[in-house]
This record gives sequence, C-alpha cells and structure tokens, in this order.
Amino acid sequence: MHKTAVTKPTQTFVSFSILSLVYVLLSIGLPPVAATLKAYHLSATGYRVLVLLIALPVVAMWFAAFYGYAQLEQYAQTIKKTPDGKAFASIGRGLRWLAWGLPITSLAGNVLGGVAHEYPHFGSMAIIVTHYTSLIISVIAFTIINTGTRGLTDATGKQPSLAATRGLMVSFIFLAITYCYVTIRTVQTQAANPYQLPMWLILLTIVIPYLYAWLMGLLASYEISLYRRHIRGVFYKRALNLVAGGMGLTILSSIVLQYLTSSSPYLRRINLNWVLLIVFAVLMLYAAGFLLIAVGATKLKKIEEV
Amino acid sequence: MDHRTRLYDRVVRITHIYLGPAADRFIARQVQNHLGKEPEKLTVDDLVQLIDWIRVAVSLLTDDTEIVEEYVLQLQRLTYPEAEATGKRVSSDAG
Repeated sequence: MHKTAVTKPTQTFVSFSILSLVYVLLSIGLPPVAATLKAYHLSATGYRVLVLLIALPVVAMWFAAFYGYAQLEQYAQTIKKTPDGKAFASIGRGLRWLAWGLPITSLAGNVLGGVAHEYPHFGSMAIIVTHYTSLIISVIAFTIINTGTRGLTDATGKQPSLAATRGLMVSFIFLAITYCYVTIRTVQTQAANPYQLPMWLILLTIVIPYLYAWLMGLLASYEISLYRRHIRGVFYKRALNLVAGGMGLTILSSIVLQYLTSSSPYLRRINLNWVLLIVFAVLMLYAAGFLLIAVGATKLKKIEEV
Repeated sequence: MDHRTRLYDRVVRITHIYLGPAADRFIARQVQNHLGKEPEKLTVDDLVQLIDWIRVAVSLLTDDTEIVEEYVLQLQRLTYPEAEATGKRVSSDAG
C-alpha cells in the first residue's frame, strides 16, 4: 500500500515531465500553421515566439492539473473501502482524464498539424481526429466525474431543490443554444469547413456529445456543491469546500475552454490580444481549480492520517 | 449493544460534528494506535487519555484553538455524565 502511495505520484510526474518536454519541443520545432499566420499577420519567427509564450503557461497549467488529480486520488486511496472513498476515486479518475486530456489533445493537434503540413491531403483527417480526440476525452471525463458526485449525493440522501434544478436547466439551455448558434455560424461563414464534416454529422457527433459532456459536468459541479452543503463536520467541511470549489472552477473553465477551442475559427475575427487574454484567463482559472482540489485533498488526507 | 459500544458511539457522534464522515475512522485509529485496544473495548477509564490524544491530533488539523477546545469540552462531558446535565466544565488535565 505504501509502495503504491509513493510510486504513483512519482509516475504521474515523470509522465507529466515527458509530455511537457515533447510538447515544448514540438511547439517550437514543427512548421507554423498557415491559417494562423495569415489570420494574425505573423512571421514564422513571430509565430514560434508566440507559441513558446503560450506553451510555458500551458505546461504550468498541466502541472496544476496533474498535481490536483494525483492528490485527490491519493486521498481516495486512503478511504478506498468506504462508500465516499469509491465516489472520490471515481472523481479522481475523471479528473485524471481531464488532466491527461490536456497534453494528449495538444500533442495530437501538434503532431497531426505537422503531418498535415507535409502531406496536405491529410489535413482534413488531422482536423477530424483532433476534434474527436478532445470530444471523446471530455465525454469520458465528465461522465466518470458525475458518477462519483452522484455517489456522494446518494450517500447524503438529499435531492436537488426545484429552484436549483430549474436554474441548471436554464443555464444548460442557454449554453446549448449559444453553442449550436456559434457552431452553425462558424461552418456557414468560413470558406473552408473548420470541422471538415457535413453539418448533420457535426450536429450529431460533435455538438450533441459535447452538450452531453457539459451537462454531466454542470451536474457534477452542482452535486459536489450539494454534498458540501449537507455534509457535517467543521474540519471536514473546510477541506471539502476547497475540493468542491476547485471542482466547480475546473469543470466550468474546462467547459469554457472546450467551447472556445471548438469555436476557434469563429474567434479568429477577434483581435489576437483579446483572444490571448481570454484564453489565459480561462487557463488560469482552470489551473486555480486544480490547485484548490490539491489543497483540499491534502487537508482531507491529513484528517485520515492523524 | 453493551455499555462500552454505546460509549464509543457517543464519542463518534460528538466527533461527527467536527470530522463528518471521517469521524468513525478517526476515533477507531486513535483508540487502536494510542490506547492499543479495539474500539469496541473503549471504557470510561480510557476517555481522559483518549481526549488528550484527540486534542493533539485535531490541533494538527487546525490553528483554531477555540473550536478544538469546544470539541474537547464536549468529549470531557462524557467522562462525567452528571456534568453534562449541569453544564459544568470538567478538565481532563486535573487528574
């Protein structure tokens, strides 16, 4: 048991270091994306400097994500035989998918973009694979997280209030309609279809699964907050508040990030400075969420150790 | 359910206010690790020592001494049930 507790975080951070190094090297080494150069009037060198400036905070965010999920998984390991232990283990697994999803989608995008640069006929396939990789990870991550949060609320026996259910439905309807609008407008207004798929396939296999994933994420965010409100224990609750707050922040910023990423061709109309500012703000919130999870999970783990 | 088990349950019930779902595991660990006995064999005679260990353990979780003292006070009342009725504070350090 001790061996698992010690080696697992080490393996996590070895994986993180390798992925980060490969990402930074690929970001600098691969040829620039022609569409981005054209959209933002950048030279090849300017593009690489920009990519490096973006890559470093991105890697820092990955670190926060890996650290956050590793801490929560360690806490879940200490209480693995209890019902809430199983629920926290599920949440930890879901967060692991989210954390690993960050480097996987970035690396897939870089590698496939590089291949498409050399072999232009492969371009459509590269775009399609990148979109579906991100989507599949999101669906799996949010579904597993929601399984865990449902386990926690089942343990308290509390049901969501009518007002909260309605609020959640209204938020989701707003999210769904704006996302559909942005996606349809993007496909209709761009000269080259940014998804490289027909509209019916985009709606059926990208929009609907994303909306499902985000609904799972919103539900998970609400359920962990419901659990936090109804659970007793002054010290336990203080630590749980950090985990719940962090999860809410991580899930919501992850949804915003996926929303922005999947509508990135639409964003090219906006000034580059604004795009970078928005993306960095969301990335910082995302990282802050994972750090809150890490701090809360460390406090919860300490309760189980003293 | 015998008297000893009821005492353990009362300690856990008070602890639940502070440690929530971790209460049972926390008390079982204190009894096993520091008193060297099984939780169901906890007796009133063990309480003073147990409360001291709990005070040490909980102080590692928080700097909020007020809440630690409030918790300890509630546990001390179990040592002398008659004090619970009158609201009189009983110090475990007295003995």
